[in-house]
Amino acid sequence: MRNMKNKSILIGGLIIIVLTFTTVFAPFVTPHDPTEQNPEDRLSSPNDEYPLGTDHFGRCIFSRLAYGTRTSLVIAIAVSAIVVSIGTILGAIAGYYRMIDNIVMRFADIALAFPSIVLALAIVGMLGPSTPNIIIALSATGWGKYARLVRGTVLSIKEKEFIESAQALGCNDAYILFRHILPNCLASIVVVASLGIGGKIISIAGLGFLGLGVQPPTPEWGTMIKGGLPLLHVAPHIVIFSGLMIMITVLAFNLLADGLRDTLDPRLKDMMMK
Amino acid sequence: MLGYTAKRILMLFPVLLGISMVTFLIMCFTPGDPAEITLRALLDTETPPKEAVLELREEMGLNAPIHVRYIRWLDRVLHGDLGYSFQTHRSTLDEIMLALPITIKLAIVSMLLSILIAIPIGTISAIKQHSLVDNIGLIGSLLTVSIPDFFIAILLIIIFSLHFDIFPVAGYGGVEYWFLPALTLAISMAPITTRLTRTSMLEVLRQDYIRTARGKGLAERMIIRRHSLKNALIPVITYIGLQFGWLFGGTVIIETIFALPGIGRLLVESIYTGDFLVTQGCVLFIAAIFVFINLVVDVSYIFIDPRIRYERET
Repeated sequence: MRNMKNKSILIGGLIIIVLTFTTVFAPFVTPHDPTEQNPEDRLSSPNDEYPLGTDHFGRCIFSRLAYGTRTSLVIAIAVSAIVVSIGTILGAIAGYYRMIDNIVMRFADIALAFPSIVLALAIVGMLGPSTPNIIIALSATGWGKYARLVRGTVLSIKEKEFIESAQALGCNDAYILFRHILPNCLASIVVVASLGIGGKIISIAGLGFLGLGVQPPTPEWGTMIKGGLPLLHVAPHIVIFSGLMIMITVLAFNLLADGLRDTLDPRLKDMMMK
Repeated sequence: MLGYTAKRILMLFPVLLGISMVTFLIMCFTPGDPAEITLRALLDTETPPKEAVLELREEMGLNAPIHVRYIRWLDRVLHGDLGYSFQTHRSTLDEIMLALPITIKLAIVSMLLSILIAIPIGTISAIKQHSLVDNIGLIGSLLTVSIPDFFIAILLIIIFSLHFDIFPVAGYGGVEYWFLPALTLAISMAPITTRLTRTSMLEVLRQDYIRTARGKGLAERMIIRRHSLKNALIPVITYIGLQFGWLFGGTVIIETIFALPGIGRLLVESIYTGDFLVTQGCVLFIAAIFVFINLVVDVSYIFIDPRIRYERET
């Protein structure tokens, strides 16, 4: 069993490292510019010149997918950073100070009451599809989950003896919260966040697929699938390769999260189902 | 039990109020004058007379400060007035009521399909741990959770519509139009239900009362059917209930791909056309339905499982 966890962390981690490498060094690993159009080569199948073929503008799909990694990873990580920070701070305050617990958690309930894609669609529809707006839209609901998670953990840790002794020593609340309580929440946060990145990547692609994602010509996976959909019968490779790319990326984060969970915090298994 | 139910229902009000505020605020930031939009719909003209617009602005209270406007809007919403679609000139409520049954139907069918896939696989995986079925189930669910549902939909279209030509690609009509969207949603929901069934079943099979049942010589099939499955399915049913709530948001992309005129597609279309009153209505409805389903799931949980009832009341 132990072997399994390490394997999933290893495989997931390896894929993520390769993807990060692609993101950083995209100009060096791609054979073409992602926006370069070669009309004479349009809709060609994979060949020596174009490893994964071309789309209807004759753009290199391999290069576009590689640059698309940049789009997806940057937005997913930015959103995760925002929701984890907001959720952790609010959750910690709610768990530590019973006075405002009720208020903060009702706000979390409201954030969690919207299916995330629905509110994201409405916000992007209203503000217009741009990278910052997509980040705002996906962050609007996401923090609630972390607030609940951190609050629960803080509540259980708060009663432990080492906190009592820290209080007896005269440590102030902020010190106790940041030095004693939050480090103990870290394991669960890391696990849920790595699972969350996978979910965010799917949402970003979903927005793109509906035409409300990062706008062309910036390469984005969901938008590429949308573009390839009408050509499904003549050039299915556009849609299939883009879909596989999303799948591999999300799978990597899911594997990492799975392995991390089993190693760091087995008890999370039940919590994440809820 | 009644106490918990009452408390849970009371907790609903601040959340519903919050939902209405968020939805109202979204509307406030949208471009365009609601009075003009409404008049265009009512008078069926692109350029409603200036005086009428001004009059309606006053009547709708659009010149009032934001909190006053919110309270007035809330009052209208509570009386069933969600404004007019300026695309179809019908009331938003009519639009939603036309679309909602389709989404409910799709949600029910796909939920049943996913149960049909998930519970047998989950149960067999638990009974025959580390068998071929278990391993295939494990790898299958890991892969399926990682695929966006719209890509599942496209793969199904490639297989069933383009290759075998059994089902239509998209549209709305007879039974054949429902199969692919329902199957897509079922496949995307099944993995977690499968894993949950397996975990829960394994847990139950370790219990003393199962050992007792075995000890008294009961046939294994009886043990599974009578004693294990019933208990193991309690958390699974709860989870399926929550999934049913998620479906009302989750059908958005799938309805759009398959051109099923449900509430999800209504939402997307209204965003495309800038029909903001419809967008607002859809968001409000979907969130409210989601919250109500969660409430029902939560409350029914204590009716299904006496242990929980005891835990929550003490």
